[in-house]
Order: sequence, then structure tokens, then C-alpha cells
Amino acid sequence: MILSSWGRLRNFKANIHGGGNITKGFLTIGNLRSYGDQAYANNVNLTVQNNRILSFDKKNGLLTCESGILLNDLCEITHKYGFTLPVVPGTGYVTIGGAVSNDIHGKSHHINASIGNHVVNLSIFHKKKLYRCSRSKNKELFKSVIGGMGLVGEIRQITLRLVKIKSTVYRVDCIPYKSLESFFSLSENSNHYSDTVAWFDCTNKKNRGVFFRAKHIHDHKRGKPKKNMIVYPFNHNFSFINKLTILIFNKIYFYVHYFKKIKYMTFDQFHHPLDKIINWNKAYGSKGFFQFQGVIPKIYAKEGVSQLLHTISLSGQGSFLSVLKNFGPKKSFGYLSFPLEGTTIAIDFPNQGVKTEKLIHDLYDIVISHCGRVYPAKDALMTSDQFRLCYPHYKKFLKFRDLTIQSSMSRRYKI
Amino acid sequence: MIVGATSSIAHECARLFANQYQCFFTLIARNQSELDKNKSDLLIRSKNSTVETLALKSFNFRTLESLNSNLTKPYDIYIVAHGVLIEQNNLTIKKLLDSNKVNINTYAHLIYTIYEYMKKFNKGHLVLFGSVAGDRGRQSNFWYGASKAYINAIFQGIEHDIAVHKRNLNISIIKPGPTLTKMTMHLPGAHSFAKTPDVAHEIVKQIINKKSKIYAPKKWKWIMLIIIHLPRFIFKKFRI
Repeated sequence: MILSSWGRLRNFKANIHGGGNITKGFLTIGNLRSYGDQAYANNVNLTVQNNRILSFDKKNGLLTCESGILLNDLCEITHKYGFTLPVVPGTGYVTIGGAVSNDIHGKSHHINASIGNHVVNLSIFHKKKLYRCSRSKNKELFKSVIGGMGLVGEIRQITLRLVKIKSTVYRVDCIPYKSLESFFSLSENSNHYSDTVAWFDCTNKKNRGVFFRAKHIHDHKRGKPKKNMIVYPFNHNFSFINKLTILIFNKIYFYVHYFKKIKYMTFDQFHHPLDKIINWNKAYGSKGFFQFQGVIPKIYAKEGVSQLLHTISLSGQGSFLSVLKNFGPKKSFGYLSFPLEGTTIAIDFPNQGVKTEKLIHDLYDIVISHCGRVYPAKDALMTSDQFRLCYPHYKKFLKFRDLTIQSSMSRRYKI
Repeated sequence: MIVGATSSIAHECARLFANQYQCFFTLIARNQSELDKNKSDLLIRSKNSTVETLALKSFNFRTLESLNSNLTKPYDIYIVAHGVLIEQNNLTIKKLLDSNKVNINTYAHLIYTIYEYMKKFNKGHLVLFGSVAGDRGRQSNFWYGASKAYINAIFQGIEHDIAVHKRNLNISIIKPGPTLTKMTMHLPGAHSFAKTPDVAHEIVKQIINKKSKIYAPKKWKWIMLIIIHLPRFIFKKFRI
């Protein structure tokens, strides 16, 4: 089978093994939504068919499911019972196993931290044995699995603690800002909102953008659910996202949000706006695209982020999809967890060959020189030295590393 | 009632039924622990449905009747998705005979019992799972195809029987094209197979419409139409 991850940078030919008993050396993969080569391996084990919910304790909000269930699916079911996932990423098409393996974060990080903090226990097939682990039992194994990129073993079942909600409608404040300073002050003042995120204009030298903060409201009538999906219909070589379209789109987007306003949105509209267009990644053309995401610790955040933004706007590369978010102080659990108290920045770059690779390496250098981290789920270029600088706990992780499992990413990181 | 309920497609169909209607399911399969997982999945996904499970080895006419004793009316739909894949590569006689036991002997036992049961109540819709492989024997999978052609003949026979005796029954055969399921995931070219939810969606839609021959995805109807009618001298030239 030919694998192609979300960034479409290259394809990879792999032997597939269906769900079930793994013999040896199979990398377990979910729905292939990581951007780089994380899911590329010669032998892979697909879990998307293992998508059952095994138990649900409606009193305490404890849900046990198999690792291949999509978050979309999970949210739809839990909403029926008035619960939701504490951490919701930008797309619903990731599996829960993949989510835990990357210790994903969402717009609610400043309150709920990352998904690893809400895993009560999990069962993992590790070195030919099935282990159950949690914060108290097999603690070190548990810490390696969270954010472990599938290199520890196959996650079979996961028990999550869900949070109660009264409705799935959000009241969203859209606030335009004209400088990085005001982004930071807005973020500081919005910590009581359940979800915050900001879009920034990568073509603008003053780093203007729009800040979104949202709260659940108890009004069911507001927020019209629209479920029209569009499939991106073209397969072309060139990228639709280029200097001109970015400039035009960013101008329009900023001026549409020029005045502060309040919107009412449903859960999907707020969390997964891009999921409406299936295969939107094809808009970047057949060469694919890179995504850069890094986090800079709070003390260096202002300096580091402005340096990153400056480098990006000077390069003339970028896209509409550019996000800023302040992470909260809660610590993530895994040895290789990405989130860190500080500011994270994520942006797509259409693949223009060496030029883009150089830019991303420059950005990585800036992040690392400010003691920050680069996100492996989005990464396709980080070197093994850079990885070791970003994740100093990797040695503890290596203790539980199953060396029979090899992915293209693990070879690049030399772990 | 779903026999072979641990099949990926059958379970997906059950989910779709549970979403649309208030259902009473009886799930039957070989593996009891998998059945229990499927049961809890269905119960959580649909608040109003009830689910019972039964291990295949204890399946016979009497258990069928006792299952039904706490129901006020007989089942509406009987889905038989039971079967294993016979791989032509590295096939040994033992493997083949074992698979045939499942695909032919057990299948016959199931259909015979269920059909007798349906005749007794004169109500219900029997859905059999065949395959496009059963339409014309091909070098790449004729052993599997043969076991599915067996089902096809049963379907034709029962359909005729219903018509001649003017019974108040329905029968359908489903012929899924290659679908990405647990059973087929390791095959070469699996990435181009249809996705289970899409296939299940089409199947459920057509079962509700009471179509008798269901190809899923639909395009296989036309592809098989061509393959069946190719003259033999041309057919022999293809490596399919």
C-alpha cells in the first residue's frame, strides 16, 4: 500500500498488517494526518478499523475506546450524553491513538493542557506483551507512550476522562489586533475563556491579526449547524497558495474582522473549520507543503516570536493558515510531549524546494536558540541533534523504545 | 439479527441502522469477546437500541426460538455476513477445506435454519453477503469466488421459492467490491479499495429500499456486467 501523509511531500510504499496480533516490527498508524514522515515505515499496522467504544461511565465521564476511533466520531457520540473531549485539535480526522501518541493540544490548552493529561489509563502491546499503564501503574512506560510517536508499541485501548458541557454552541469574540504586543496582552486577559486562538497575517510587517476567544453558552438555538462537505476537486501540480493569493486573502480576512464582533458557532464550525473541505491539502499542489510549528517558553516568548515572524515576513513565503496561541502553565505528562508554557506558532509553507527547507531550518534554529521545541507531528526536516536539544528527556524515553519498530522519522531522529 | 456480526461491514451497517431506528439486535459470531465489544459499542452509540449476543456454536433452531421468546414480533431483517477470505497464494488443501467448512457448510446450516424460521412466521427480509468474486470465476480468486457463487445460487433459489409460493418474505444478496476491512487490509492494492463506511451506507440504503441485488459501491454493477458478458476467448486474455 502507498502511504501519503497530510503534507504530501512524498509517498511511501509499505506492507500493511490489519488490526490484530502484531508479529514484529510493525509501526502502528492511525489516519495519516501528521504532516511529515512520522507514519512512514516499511511495515505498518492500520488501526482505523478498530473503532469501537468499549464502555462509557456516564456518571464520571470515563470513556474507554479502541485506538482507531476518529475524534469526530467520538465527539459526536459524547455530545449526545452532554460530554466532550477536553482537548480538541484543529481537525476531527485524527484517531485517538494518534492523538495520544503525539500528545496533541488544542485551543483550550491554557485550561486543559494536552490530551495526555486526560488519559486515565491505556493498554499497550509493548515488546510482545500487553501492558496496562496509568499514572500510578507502569508510570514510566505511560510517560513514554504519551507523545511516543508510535515507537513504543501498539496502543490497543484508551480510557479518557471527558468534561461535561451544557451545549455545543460557542460564543466567539473576534478581536482584531495590530501588533504583537496587543496579542500578548489580549491573551493574558482572556485566560478565563475556555478556548483562545489567534490568526496572524504573515505578510504584514507589524504582525497584525485577529484574536478569537470563545465560551460555551447555554443557548441551544444559536449556532446553525451546517454539514455541507466539499471535496477539493482538483489534482494539480502548481500551488494555489502563492504570494499574490496570500496577500489578497490576508487583506480581505483582516478587514472582514476589522471591527470587533461576536459570532455564535457550533462545535464543528469553531474547532474544525477546515474539515469542511475534504482534501484541502491538495490546494498546495502535487509538491505538497511543510508546516512549521514551534513553541517558545514564556520568558523568551516576545523576543522569539517577533524574530520568527520577522523571518517569515522577510522570506516572502507563507500561507493563510497561520496560528498563534499562548500555552498555559500546566505541564504535559509525556517524556516527548511538545507543549510548554509559552507561545506557539504554526504556519504552512508550500513546498518550493531548497528555499523553503532553508527557511524552516532558520526557524528551527530560532526556536532552539530560545530554548523552545519543534512539534514532531508537523515536522519533516528536524535533524537528530535538533531533536535532542528540543527534547532533553529523550534518554528516559529510549528505555522503553522498541527498536524493532522503525519509522522514517525515527531513523531521521536516530532514536 | 446479524450473523457474522464481527465483520467490519456488518458492524458498520448495524451502527447505521442503530442511528436511524430504534433497533433490537441479536448479534451472532464465532468470537464471543469480540461480540461483547461490538455490543457495548452499539449500546453507547444509540441510546434506544437493545442488543443480545449469541455464540455461533450454540446456534440452532431451538435457540433461535428461545431468543425470540422475549420479543413481541419476529425479526425484520436477517443479515448473514458470515465467511472467511480464501487466499489463492500459498493455498494448501487443509486451508481450503477448513475455509470451505466455514464458507459453505456452516453457511448452509445458517441459511437453512433461518429460512425455516422465517417461513414459520412468514415475515422478514433475509440479506446474504456474496461477493463480486462469485459472479465469474477468475484465476486470481476462484476458490473464494466459488464459495460465494454457492451463496449466489442459494439466493436465486430462495428468491424463486418466495415468488412461486407467494410468501411474504424478501431476500437480497449483497456483492461488495473490494473493501478495506480487517479481512482485506494486508492485500496488495488495499489503498485503492472502497472504504467501509461508504460501502455500509450504500448497503443499508438499498436494504431499506428492499433491492434484491445490491452492488456496493454501485459502480461494480456495471463492471461486473461487462466481466460476466465478456466472451471466453477475450476473457482468457485478461490477467484479472
